[in-house]
Amino acid sequence: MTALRLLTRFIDRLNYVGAVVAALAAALLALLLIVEVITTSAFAWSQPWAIEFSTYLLAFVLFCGTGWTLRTGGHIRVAAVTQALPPAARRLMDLAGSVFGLGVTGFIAVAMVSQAIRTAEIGSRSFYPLATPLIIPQGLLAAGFVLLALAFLARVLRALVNDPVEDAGRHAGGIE
Amino acid sequence: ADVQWDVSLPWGPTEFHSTNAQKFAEEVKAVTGGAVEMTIHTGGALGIKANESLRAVEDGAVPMAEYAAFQNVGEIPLLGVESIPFLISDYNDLAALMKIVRPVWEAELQKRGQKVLYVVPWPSQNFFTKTPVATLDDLKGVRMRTYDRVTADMVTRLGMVALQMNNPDIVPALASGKLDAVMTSGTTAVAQKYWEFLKHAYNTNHMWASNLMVVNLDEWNRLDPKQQKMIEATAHKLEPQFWEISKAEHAKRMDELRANGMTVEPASDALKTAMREATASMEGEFVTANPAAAPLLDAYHKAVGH
Amino acid sequence: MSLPLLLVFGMLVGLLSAGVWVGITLTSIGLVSLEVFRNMRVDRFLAGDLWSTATSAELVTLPLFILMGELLFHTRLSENLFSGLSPWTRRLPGRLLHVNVLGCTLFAAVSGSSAATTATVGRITLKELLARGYDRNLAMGSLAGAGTLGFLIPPSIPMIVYGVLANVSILELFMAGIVPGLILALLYMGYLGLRTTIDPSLLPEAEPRLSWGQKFGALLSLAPVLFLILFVIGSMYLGFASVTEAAAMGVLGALLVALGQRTLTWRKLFDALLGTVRTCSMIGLIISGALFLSKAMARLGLPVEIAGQIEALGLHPYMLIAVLLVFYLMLGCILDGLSAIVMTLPVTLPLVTAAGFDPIWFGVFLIVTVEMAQITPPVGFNLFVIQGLTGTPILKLARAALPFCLIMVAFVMLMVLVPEVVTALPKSLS
Ligand code: NA
Ligand code: NA
Repeated sequence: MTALRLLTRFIDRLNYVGAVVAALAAALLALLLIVEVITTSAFAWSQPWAIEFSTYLLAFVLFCGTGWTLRTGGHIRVAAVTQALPPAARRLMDLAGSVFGLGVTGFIAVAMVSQAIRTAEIGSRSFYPLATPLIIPQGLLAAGFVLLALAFLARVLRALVNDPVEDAGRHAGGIE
Repeated sequence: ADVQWDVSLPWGPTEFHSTNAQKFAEEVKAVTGGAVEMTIHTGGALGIKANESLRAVEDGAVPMAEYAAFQNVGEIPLLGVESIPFLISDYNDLAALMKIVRPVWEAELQKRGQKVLYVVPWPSQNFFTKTPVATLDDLKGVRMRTYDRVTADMVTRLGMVALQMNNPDIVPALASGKLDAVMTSGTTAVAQKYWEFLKHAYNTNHMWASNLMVVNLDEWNRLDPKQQKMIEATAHKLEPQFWEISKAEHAKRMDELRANGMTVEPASDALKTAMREATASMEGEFVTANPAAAPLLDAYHKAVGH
Repeated sequence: MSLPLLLVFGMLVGLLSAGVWVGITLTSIGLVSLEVFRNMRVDRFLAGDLWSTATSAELVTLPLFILMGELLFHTRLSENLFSGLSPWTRRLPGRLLHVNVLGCTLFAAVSGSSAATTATVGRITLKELLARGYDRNLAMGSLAGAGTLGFLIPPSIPMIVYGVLANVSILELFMAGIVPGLILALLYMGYLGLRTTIDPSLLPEAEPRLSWGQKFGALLSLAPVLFLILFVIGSMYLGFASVTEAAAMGVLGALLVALGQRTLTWRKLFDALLGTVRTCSMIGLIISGALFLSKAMARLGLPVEIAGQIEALGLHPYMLIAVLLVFYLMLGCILDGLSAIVMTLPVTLPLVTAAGFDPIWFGVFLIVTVEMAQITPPVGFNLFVIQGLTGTPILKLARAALPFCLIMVAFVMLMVLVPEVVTALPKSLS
């Protein structure tokens, strides 16, 4: 039991790190493009990495914090039917949904990791001026999906021992 | 059909490469008696970007794809050989280069799990500008859209500002004045109706780009040898026709640009000389980066005599 | 109904009502239908597609505009906006409810995406509207409906995609979208005015009348709003920023407003960034699922097959448009609207031009259908964005957005009867 809680808390920590990486990526993305406007308008110089890096940063913003978003209840589902169920059945449905989610995101994570591994083996680079080794952005993107699969694993484990599956913390979305 | 291949193309459904692919698919279907059927997905409908097509076919994400060689230099650097500025002056040169380079490309691509069915070039390249360009001075500070290492280098050396820009940004940037110039083939210029923003076209012919139609090797090896022969023969028969279509494109598109009020001129000698000087070292740099290119380029220069 | 279609609909209804996350549902339908009906490396196709979606240039504006909205949420901009406008809208039927439509119309002029428009404007307006006691359904419905204007009023990413595929002038398409965009905005406002006149309980108590001096004083509080609008729109239309970069200028503008109002702290900045990550993760999972499902459908040949069947019907032009409207509306229920266009255009465009319709006109027609797709359940991005903002269930939101969807249907009829609403402006300029 304590081992299990240690594991789920560890997964939470990892996912929070992922969210911070995504947040930094969002800040860098804004900075990168603000600088680009200034350098192209005032100095007739364009950062040769602006376009390329902006797309990688986008990938990190979209998917590095996705596991943390699951933990904080930010991903969207249609609750109309399940809400009508009695609590026990609702918990069971939630568990089944989490297991299904673990299956799908596990499949995605494996696909993304093996894509990143092939990229490393082949040595694929980008076709942009910097010829960035693609393993760097693809590796980080794959890590994002691994984090999501882990978040689903933690969710399943928590549901099994009747721990609360979501913790919105200060991020309880919603104006209501 | 026994075999059903999805073919990914990044270009729009009416561009000549797409209609060529359609024709290829029809003829293959006919000669194989309907056993091999290809579905052409244009406009990147399968979500596979031009610069990710080589990997997509290698990975088996899609059985067939067409892509421009230079857009996949991140995978095989030698695919960039034809885009060395001013290496090739016309279709004859390009054919000569292909004779030497294509077997090497095919061998490299075989290692990457794909077979080349046919190769068709884009028409000659042009600069499209807002203001007239007679000398190199006229290019100073002009903001030109570039799309890869070679073009960014060249543009910078010509004193222009190289702006990397993604497709959705180009037309609004031309409209708002963020962008002053683009370089591309007449085909693309007409498709994007560049006369709405740009007034002058100069045939600079500074680089060449060819498209490769490839098939995943595992898929290919699943065919029986007779079918393979038929498809190879079809590609072999159609490729020269596709080259003729490409050759006719440039003049046809330039006429369309003129009809829409653009001035179409050859690049001035002064400009061409300046461009050649600015890019003179690029062939050497390419060879330094890719030593395997040295014997190929030597053989090519011998064959065309320049 | 063919077997793959049956599987897709069955899984969609089953999984969504079982409460499975929307993005997971869409991805899993793509996976299963390809595994069952096609002999291919589905994992490879999926991995390539996720990489491609995650790095697609068209989406770069999304996190930036969302960050802009998050930053502004921590400023007094929303109070400024409402207190500046409220004395001037006292006698306007619907009063401040119009702020969504006006805000979205204005914001659409910089944003090429409708989810970004909805998220940014909603972050600024919704809380205040609800706090002031305006009707929830009208507040959220008008945001959902007007948010779609991001696609119709230039710049517009779907128009650029359509222009390239259909070989028509993107500039003319942009021109063609302006009048329909404004008409739709007016229709939405008309509806809001009418509804609240019929049923005044949808509005809060009227605020006390102010003197002219107080009224003009209130205008002063609009200064930060005005600064932001001029800063962002100006940066793009004066040629300093590209469409993508304009979103980054939005972030800079929001930072400047926050600094000017001395409301910015490191803590709030970090919260805004985490809030951005949360919204972007939510949209990212759904968008990647929707795009993957679209491509799975393309590989199963479904949309093209159905489009081909429509072709075979040999319909009268008006009937053809009516059938296509239904066709795209149904596709738009499940698929990302833009992907639906990319897949089917090679079949439907020749069909429509042969029936005598102008390709520019058809482009605007398709954009309006993509807009409807944004607010129809189960897969409607504007609905998801508003669910993320308010926590309101998706079906309730869809009901709130329904009148605005119907207004779009009515507008399409107007477009068919009077094509000039679309074509007159581009024609007059070329
Ligand atoms: Na817009
Ligand atoms: Na929808």
